Amino acid sequence: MSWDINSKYFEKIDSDSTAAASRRIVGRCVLVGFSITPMYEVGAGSTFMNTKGTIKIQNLNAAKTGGTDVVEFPVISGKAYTLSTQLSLSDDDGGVLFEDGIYLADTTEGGSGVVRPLLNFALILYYQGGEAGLDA
Amino acid sequence: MRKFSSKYMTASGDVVDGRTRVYAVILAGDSTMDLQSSIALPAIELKNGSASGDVLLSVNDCANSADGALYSGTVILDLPEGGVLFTDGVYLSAYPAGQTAGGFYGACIFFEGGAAA
Repeated sequence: MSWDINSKYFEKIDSDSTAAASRRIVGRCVLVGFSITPMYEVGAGSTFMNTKGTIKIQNLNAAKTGGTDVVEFPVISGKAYTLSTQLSLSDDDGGVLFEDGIYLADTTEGGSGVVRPLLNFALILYYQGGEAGLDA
Repeated sequence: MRKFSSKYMTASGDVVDGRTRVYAVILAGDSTMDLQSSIALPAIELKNGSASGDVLLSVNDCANSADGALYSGTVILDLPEGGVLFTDGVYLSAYPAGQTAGGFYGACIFFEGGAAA
């Protein structure tokens, strides 16, 4: 049996300025794939060789303004470029359950506080609701 | 449909205990590390059960490279359908023999554990 995979596109999530409503998928869902392109914000005193952090795909909290970590992966850049990170879990007929919805966030370190990863583009592929058949 | 879990690791250690099937790994080295004097080939390994277990997955970089792919970007292991079976659990070795600490940044492992694996 197959279900329709939903797709949601997010454009430029900035840690400081992007509202919660623009970085979430509300409701129980199963993550089956994603394509995320990070972008690094570079300011004075920074170096390209010290740009690193993580992208977090979180379970939405009750207030729908944040979440707890479910999937976290590293993003790192050696020079003035970063590559998109793409993964499909549906090939294995599997997925990661998010009980209350998905919330996109990131962490950063290094660069004297002026370099941090942002989500430039993110495409989230998921099953919505109970149709995916995963037990809670 | 299979229910996968995910775990983020920032150092060597047990990822998960017991029978486990790994389906995907996203990992990165640390571009701040100077590799030009490396003796051993830089690598990040997943071993069966413990630090002394068999190496079942390994990502290697080019020795004597200061800006190799492993240490300047994200590497994705999207394994073939069915994944890789670890009968005794999964252990992450971030600093294989000959490597010094500091060459590993993080790894995200997607897996299914227990009898279903």
